[in-house]
Amino acid sequence: MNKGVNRRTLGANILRTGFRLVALVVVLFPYFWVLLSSLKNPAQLNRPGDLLFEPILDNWSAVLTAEIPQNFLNSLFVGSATVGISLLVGTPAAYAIGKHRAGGRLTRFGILTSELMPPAILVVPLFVIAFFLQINGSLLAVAASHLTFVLPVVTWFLIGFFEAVPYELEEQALVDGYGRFAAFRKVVLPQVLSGVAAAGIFGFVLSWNDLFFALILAGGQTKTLPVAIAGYNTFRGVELGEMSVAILVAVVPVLVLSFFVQKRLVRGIGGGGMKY
Amino acid sequence: MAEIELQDVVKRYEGVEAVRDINLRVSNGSFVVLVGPSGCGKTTTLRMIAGLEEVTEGSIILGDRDVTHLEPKDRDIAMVFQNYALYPHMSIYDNVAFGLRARKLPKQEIDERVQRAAKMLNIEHLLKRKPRALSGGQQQRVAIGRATVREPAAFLFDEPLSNLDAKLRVEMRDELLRLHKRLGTTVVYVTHDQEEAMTLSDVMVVMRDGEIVQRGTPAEVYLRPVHEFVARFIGSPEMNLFEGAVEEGVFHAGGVSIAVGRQLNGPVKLGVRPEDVHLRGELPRDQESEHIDARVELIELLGPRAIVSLQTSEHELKTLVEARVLEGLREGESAQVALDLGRLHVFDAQTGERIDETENLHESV
Repeated sequence: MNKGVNRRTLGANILRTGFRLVALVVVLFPYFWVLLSSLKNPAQLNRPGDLLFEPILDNWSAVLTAEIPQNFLNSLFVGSATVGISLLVGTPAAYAIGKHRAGGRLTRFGILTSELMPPAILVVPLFVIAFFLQINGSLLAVAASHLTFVLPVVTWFLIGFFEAVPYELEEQALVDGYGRFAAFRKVVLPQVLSGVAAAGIFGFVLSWNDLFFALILAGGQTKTLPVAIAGYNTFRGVELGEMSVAILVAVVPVLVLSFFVQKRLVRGIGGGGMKY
Repeated sequence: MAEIELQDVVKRYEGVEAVRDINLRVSNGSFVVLVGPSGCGKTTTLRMIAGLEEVTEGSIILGDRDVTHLEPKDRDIAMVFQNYALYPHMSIYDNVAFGLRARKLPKQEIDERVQRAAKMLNIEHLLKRKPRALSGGQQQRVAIGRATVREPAAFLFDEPLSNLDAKLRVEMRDELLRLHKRLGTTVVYVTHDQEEAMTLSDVMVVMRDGEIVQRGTPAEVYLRPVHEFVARFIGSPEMNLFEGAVEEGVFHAGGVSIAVGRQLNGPVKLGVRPEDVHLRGELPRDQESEHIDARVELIELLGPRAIVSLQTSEHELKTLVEARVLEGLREGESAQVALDLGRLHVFDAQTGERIDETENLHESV
C-alpha cells in the first residue's frame, strides 16, 4: 500500500466522521432541548437561550403523578392490540399475496391505497359505528381505527419477506409429510420472523404516534399519549415544562424501538427481505 | 419400495399443454432418468408424481394405490430439489429428522435412523450445524440423507447435481449410484444433462415438448436413437448430420456417395457419431465408406482423446479420435476421413424419424 492511498482513506474517514457528527447534532439537539425544557421553571422557560440554570424536577413530579402514566398505559394497550390484530391478519394475508399472488398483481400495491385516504373521511363512519356498538370512547374504538392504517402497512411490509422465501422450502415440507398449514407454520413462518418482528414494531410506532383518530374517538379516561400532550396546550397558554416531560415519555420508547428495527425497516421498505 | 405408473397423464397450464399424454412405467427398484431440454415437461412430470402439481388428466399409480389426487404428504415419496431446500432455521440433525417427526416416530427410532443416514453419507460431524455453514456438496449430502431416512416408496430427484462444480458432480453421481444399489429404492431422476442421464439410468426417458420421444437403456438410446432429436440431444460432441438424398441405397450429398444399405429413395438425413468418423486407414477396408476430403479446422485435445473439427466442401464434420492418431494432423491442413458403414443412422428428412434397414420403424423399447 502506498502513502497516497493511505492519506486519501484517512481524509475520507475524517470527512465521513465529520458528517456523522453534524447529522448526530441535528437529530439529537431537539431532544436535548426538550430535556432542558423539562427541567426548567416557568420563568426560565421564557429564556430559551439559557443553557446554565438550576434544574428542577417539579415538572416531572407533576406529570408523573397526574394522568400521564395512565395515558402511557392507554397508548400501550392500543398499540399492542392494533399490532396484535394486524399481525394475526396481516401475516397470512402477506403470505397469500406474496407467495400465491392472491387477488392478482394489483393487490400488492392496491392495499396501500388505503394509506392515501385522508383519515377525516374514515373518522365519522368509525365514530358512528363505535357509537352503535357502544364502544365509543373506549380504547377498543381507538385500536379499531388504528387498524385502518396499520394493517395495510404491516401486510405490505411482510409481502417482500414472504416473496424472498424459496418456494422449494415449503414444497420440501409438503413432501416431507406435512400439510399446508404445518408447512407454513414450521418452515415458512420461521424464515420471516425477523420481518414479522420489524413489522410489528413499525406498526406499533404508527399507532403510538397517532393523534387524529385518538383525539376524536377516545374518551376522557381513555386518552392516549399524543392526546394528552396536546392537552397541555390550554386556554391559559402552553404548559411547556410539563409538556416537555410528556413528550419525552412518549418519544423515548419509540426511539429505543426504532434503534432495534431500523435495518429491517429499510429492507422491508425496499421490498427485499432475506437473502438465501 | 414401489412401482410407479403414469397413465395418459396430461398437464395443462392455462390452455398450454406442458405434458401431453405420458405413459410411463417405472418398475420396482429401477433408476429412471427423465432427460430433455428445458421446457420439455420433465420437471412437471416429476412434480406431478410428487403431488406438487395437479394432474389435469390421467392417473398416477404408486404401488397398488392410485395417488393422483392425494396430497404430497400422503404419497410416501421423498424428493431432492435442485437447490437442496434445506430448512435454514434448523440444524442439520433437525433437517434430517423433520420428515420422521411428521410421521410421529418414537424419538429413539428417529435418532437411530438419523445417525445411520449420517454415517452412510459422511455427515455425522455436521449434524449440529446450520445449513448455511455447509458447502454445496455437504448440503447435497444432507438433502439426500433427509430423503433416505424416511425409507420412502420412491425417490424423486430434480436436477440435484446441477449446482455443484464439475468434479463434485462426478463424485456425487457415483455416490448416488452406490446408494441406489444399496437401498434398491425406485428412483425417478430429472436432468437436462445427457451425460448424467447416460451414466445414472437403468432406463432413460428422452422427452421433448411434453412428450416421450424415446425410452430404453442408455446403450439402446445411444446406439439406436429413434429420432433425429434424440440423436442430436444424446452424445457429446453432437452427432454429425448431413442432409442429402438416397437413390438406390446410396446416399448422395456434396459430391460424396455413401452406401447406406437401406432400400429407399428420397431426401433423408444421414447421421454419424463423431467416434464413428475415422481418419483414413483406421478401419478395415470393408467397413469404411468412400474417403472424404476435408480440411482440419480445429483440434481440441481432451486428454486421451481429441475432437477434430473438419470442413468438407459442403459440410462441417466432427470426429472424436484417439490422441495418438493426431500425429501428422495439423490445423489448416487437409486430411481424409471415412465413416464406419456399420454405424450409420438414417432419419426421415421431414419427420426426423429413424429409418431402419428392416422396415419396422416405430418400435420402441
